[in-house]
Amino acid sequence: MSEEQISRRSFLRKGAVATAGAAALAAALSPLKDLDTSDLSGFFQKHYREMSPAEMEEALARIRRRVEERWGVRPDLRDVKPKDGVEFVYALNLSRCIGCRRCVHACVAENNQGRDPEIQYIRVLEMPRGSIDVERGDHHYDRPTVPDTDHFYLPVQCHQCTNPPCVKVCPVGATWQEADGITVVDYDWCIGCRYCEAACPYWARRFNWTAPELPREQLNPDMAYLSNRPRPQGVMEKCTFCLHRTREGKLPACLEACPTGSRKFGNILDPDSEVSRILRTKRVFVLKEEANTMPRFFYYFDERYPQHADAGADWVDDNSDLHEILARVLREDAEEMTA
Amino acid sequence: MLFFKSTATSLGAHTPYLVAGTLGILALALFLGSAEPVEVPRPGAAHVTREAIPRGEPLRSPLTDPPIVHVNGYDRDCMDCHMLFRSPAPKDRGLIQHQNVVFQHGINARCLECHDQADRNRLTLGHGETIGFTESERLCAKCHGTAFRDWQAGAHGKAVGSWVIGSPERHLMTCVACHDPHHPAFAGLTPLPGPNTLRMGDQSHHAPEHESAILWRGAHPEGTDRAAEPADAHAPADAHDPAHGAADDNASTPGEQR
Repeated sequence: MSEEQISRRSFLRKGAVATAGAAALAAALSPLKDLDTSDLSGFFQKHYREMSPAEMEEALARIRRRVEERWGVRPDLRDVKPKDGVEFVYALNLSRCIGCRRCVHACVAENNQGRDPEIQYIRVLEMPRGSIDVERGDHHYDRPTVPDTDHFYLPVQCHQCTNPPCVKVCPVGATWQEADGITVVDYDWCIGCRYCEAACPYWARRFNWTAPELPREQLNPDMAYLSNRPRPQGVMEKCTFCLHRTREGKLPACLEACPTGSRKFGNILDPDSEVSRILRTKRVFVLKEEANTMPRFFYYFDERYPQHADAGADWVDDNSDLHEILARVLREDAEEMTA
Repeated sequence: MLFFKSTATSLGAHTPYLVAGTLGILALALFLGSAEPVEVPRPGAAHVTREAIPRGEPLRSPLTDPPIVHVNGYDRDCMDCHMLFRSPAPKDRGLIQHQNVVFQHGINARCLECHDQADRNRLTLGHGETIGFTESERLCAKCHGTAFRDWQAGAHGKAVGSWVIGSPERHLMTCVACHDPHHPAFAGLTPLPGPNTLRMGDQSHHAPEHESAILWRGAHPEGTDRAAEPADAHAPADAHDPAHGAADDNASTPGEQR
């Protein structure tokens, strides 16, 4: 090679190519800027279901340390396993729900979702009475008081399907169904492709677009690996039926917060549980049955549709008819007696 | 000397690559130095404090047996007064005492349909049997049989603490933990804020029947802080029209409420 062979043209061409290549390399490597090189154990952590107990302890210790570093709170973090002979089922009474969204915010307070923007697992649809078309449901309703007389309220959250489409589409096996029916996510294994979000017919999965912002005083230190430990940016998350509570015998936070008692939770394998009795005796339907997802979340009705009709100040006026009917019956009875 | 010469020659030969490499390193440094995360629009968080969310406590405190009320710093039961001050003979009149009671219970419009006339610490089942205030669900069941059966089966009402049937942690709430027996209809609540769907904007325009919802949002622009709303804001407003609210203590004439 001699100097004469290098023309201005080839110099510029090669220079441009080299610059573009270096810039592309830099772009590809730029996430490494944020890598914490002081502790790489999280980087080499195995999949949840492949970790030995010792490795799980190591992972839990690392997450505890991270939480304490960031929030200054020592979390009660643990790995809670499913119980034998337990399969969880949720039932929700549509005749009683008033759409007050207490469940939505009890869930946010319990599960350490990002607050800014706020991630909500439960979506309450306000739907015209007499229809069951979710496309006409409005989840942005904002009224001085609920319930509205012309609407009913359909809270939707993860249905913990027996045949979950979200699990099928995950390319890396980061989400799966546990023995007690709860579909979980290993947040350290998720690559954030959002296929599961697209596959879910119930709009139950949420993506962390940003690093979740969570004020220290709102952090819930009662947490489990598979449910409400703080999530990183770029991963999916979802309702886990509060497995850190329910696998220890407690009730989900949304149920505890419901002021109307619309929410019912329990073990479908126990014939005496509330949900077993409801599924046996009440009128029950599942949402989007045609999707063949076989949800573990059921909606049911009471025999009549009471609370909208007789709530509020119209109560006595509505029942004034009853006075007239009663008076007429008594009068007719008296006429028959005298006749 | 030969070494330097050859180095100089080869340097000259590789000058374009050196320059390109230098430029590349410069670009790398610039990129690493100035790379900022993409700015994502962030709608404000819905500021709902944990205190604003009920955590399973009953909405009302059911009475004990015998019922205890606090009067001027003393604990009294009903008979402490009712033994001393006999009620006047049954006739159509309004309440003199207990004027804080808002009474809207449909056609069940007289005090003594539930309260025992002789022993005011007891409730009457109407056929001579009386029960304590802690068993009040048996009284409700006389009319509300459907709801009572649903409650027994767990389809109506609320149990808190644990889903394990028979667990000591599990506490089943009775009727009066949620319903005021004097005006049992469940009043409305102020809804807490809905979702902040990132970059999706207002989605309510898809359906024409949501015009009312849009109007409401116009009247109450987003950002209205509802956090201060107490969790038990469903408690009904204070005493209504006394003509409707008061009931006769000793009434025996039907229909005096209307």
